[in-house]
Amino acid sequence: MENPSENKIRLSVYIANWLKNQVDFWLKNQIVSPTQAANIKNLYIWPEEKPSQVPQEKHPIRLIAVLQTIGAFLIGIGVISLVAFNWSKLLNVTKLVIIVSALVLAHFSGFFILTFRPKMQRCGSTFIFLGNLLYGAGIWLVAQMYHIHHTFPTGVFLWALGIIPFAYILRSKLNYFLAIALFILWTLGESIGYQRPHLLFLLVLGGLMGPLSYYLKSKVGLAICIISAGTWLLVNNILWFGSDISIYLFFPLALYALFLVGASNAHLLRNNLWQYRKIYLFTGIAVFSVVVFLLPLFGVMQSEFISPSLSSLSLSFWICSVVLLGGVIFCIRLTSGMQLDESASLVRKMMLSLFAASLYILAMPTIKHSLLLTLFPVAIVALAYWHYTKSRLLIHLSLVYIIIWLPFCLVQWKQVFVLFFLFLLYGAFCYILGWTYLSRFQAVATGNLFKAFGLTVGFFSLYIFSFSSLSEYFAGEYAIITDSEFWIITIFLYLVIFFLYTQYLSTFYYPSHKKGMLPEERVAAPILFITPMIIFIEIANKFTGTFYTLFINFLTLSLLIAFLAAGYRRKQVSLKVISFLFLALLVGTRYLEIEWSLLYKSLLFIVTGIIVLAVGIIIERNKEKVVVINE
Amino acid sequence: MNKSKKTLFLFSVAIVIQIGLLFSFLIKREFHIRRGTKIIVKTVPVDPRSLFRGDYIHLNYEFSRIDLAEVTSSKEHFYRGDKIFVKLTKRGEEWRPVETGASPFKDIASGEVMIRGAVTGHQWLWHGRGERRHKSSVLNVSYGIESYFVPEGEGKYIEDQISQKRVKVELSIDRGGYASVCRIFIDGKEVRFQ
Repeated sequence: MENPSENKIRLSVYIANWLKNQVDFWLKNQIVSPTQAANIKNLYIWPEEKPSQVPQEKHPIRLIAVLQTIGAFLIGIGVISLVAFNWSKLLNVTKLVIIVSALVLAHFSGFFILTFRPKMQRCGSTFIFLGNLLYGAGIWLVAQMYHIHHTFPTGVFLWALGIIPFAYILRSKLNYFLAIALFILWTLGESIGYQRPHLLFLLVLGGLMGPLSYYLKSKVGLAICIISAGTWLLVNNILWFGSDISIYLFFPLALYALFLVGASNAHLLRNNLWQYRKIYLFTGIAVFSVVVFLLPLFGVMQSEFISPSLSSLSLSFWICSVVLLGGVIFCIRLTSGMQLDESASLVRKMMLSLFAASLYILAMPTIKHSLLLTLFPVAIVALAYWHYTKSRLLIHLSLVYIIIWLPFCLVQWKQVFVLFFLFLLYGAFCYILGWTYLSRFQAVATGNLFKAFGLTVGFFSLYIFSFSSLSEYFAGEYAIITDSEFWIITIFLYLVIFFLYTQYLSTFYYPSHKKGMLPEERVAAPILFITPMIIFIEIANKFTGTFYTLFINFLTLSLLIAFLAAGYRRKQVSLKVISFLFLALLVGTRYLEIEWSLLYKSLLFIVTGIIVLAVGIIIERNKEKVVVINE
Repeated sequence: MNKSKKTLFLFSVAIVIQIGLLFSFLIKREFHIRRGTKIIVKTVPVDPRSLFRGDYIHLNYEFSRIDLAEVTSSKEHFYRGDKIFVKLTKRGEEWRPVETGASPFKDIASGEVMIRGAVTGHQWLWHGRGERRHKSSVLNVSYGIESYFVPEGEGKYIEDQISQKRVKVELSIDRGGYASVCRIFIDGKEVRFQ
């Protein structure tokens, strides 16, 4: 006998929610009778519970939170540097007593602020964050007292482990982020230090940090877990291969991206999970983009870096790939036969082309060692996207992307400098192209995508040029470029940039145009495309001394601050994230390069940290007063 | 118990866990040192810097590199990351490796100590000529005692002494083979930083 439920369509939470509202609406307007409404509802298999409307969490990056976190972080780093200075005038026991007392004091201050000053929540969390940093300083002090080996990943693990109870009890995302950053540092130390895959990290991610991110409702935390699992896969793949770097590394990573994309749809099955769906989708897309973006590098490097045969791959590589593929199939099966919303069905349709692109990575080295062939996966995905959506967004982007790699196909570049020079110029070109899409075609999504892509490529090149040693190396190996292709491409790009800027953007400014260029962007954009030429002149003339380094660093810093400010003013996440990440990278790198005494460094950090923290607390206190007056 | 009292209790537990982790780690090291056998070994230091802990002298020992052809070994091959137990015996002034294994030794005689380490790399070394030519595995082993932390800038002083003088280190090795660095000597004189 036929089971009537077999012919019914299973609905995803999203669609079920929509359909229920619609049926209620038809019923209310007497378009359908109650019996008809019941019959319509009976046609489908509904999810177990009624989908709840999840309130949109607002995460404005508040000045108070940023100031207080930076202040606490600086104090913590200062204390760790002070420990590292290893001041012999103080006994080890005295140092330990000071650190332990300070950490207990910071923790209890934080706790009492959280309990008795409900309007100073940020301040309370920051003190506990500071306590956790001091706990780390304590670990490094003990490790120093007993001369424990300088690579001591277990110390980082103990540090992270001690923070978890605070993240859990206080539902503190800030402390959760500190713990996960330390766990990542731990696995890098274990994997790279001992040159063996470090499986325990996956257990920590899957068994502790992943569930904790759901418990804390931290989408960013979940994204970090997902991305760090991907990074783990890449690093440990290298270890599984031995010392050989191979193009095959990208295969499990691409499968992982597919798994994430598939898992995003699986989140539609449960009411309490579907709000996390986009995290999986976006991280999956990001991981896949990184794979296809980096593939051509192997084409540029030519055959020696591409693995000779599939037989060289280890058993662990295949086990890992099969497990991931199993995960992808499982996720697809979970939602098969389900009525999905538009984006989820697009994901389902795109899976085949994404899998074909991933499979191509395995076939690539056996076909030919060619740069052009490494660009094929991008074309597959872009065409599939166009086929299913009729949107030319990815086709436009992949065309520009392919153009970026084309010069490397035309000529065998002998100077590494040329590579980064062209990347910088292409970055500026893509950025201007993005603006042109906005001003000429009002294509916001395409325009922003091009701008983000251009800035990422451009900032990466600027970051490379900000190293004095690398610039000296570029200057040392520089020889007059006689390749006509290089000059044709450079002149062509400059002419296009000049044309687009003068034709469409010179008058496209805010506020006369709603989406026009802000004053900071109007200044930063021309600087961005003049910079490659300045760098070229400096390198070609071997002017790579202190002045050059200071100039490039100042220029990069100014551009990053300008774009960060523009990102905040526009409330544009991509612009804020890209600028902030490169800013952190630049400042962090320069800090590590400074050869000051640790004592001065630590004092500078502690004093600056106290000032910044105090400003944050004062602002929060005043905010509290304003609220009281208003009440 | 009301909610704030419960949170205070849990919060205090979290602090106790943190301090407990810190002190368990400290006590464990102290216990190893106090209960361990003290030996003095030769070393070759250099002076780098750790990100979290400042300047240290990198110590290299004679038994940091072990040729498996020259010792008795229960295992033919060790790979990177493998745990290794090394039996050291005193010959004159020096401690030399005589036996290696993947598990702890039970027969430790007087004048011998067992030290626990991890293999950080290995190379093949060729011996002999013609038909007698054969290869043996040479291991690089880390025992966790390769760093001696000094106040900032002081490491240079010890590094300068190396070319002319003999640098020795006092190690404490417990029954389980865990080793710790206790003191450092230049020409038999203990180095103290004031």
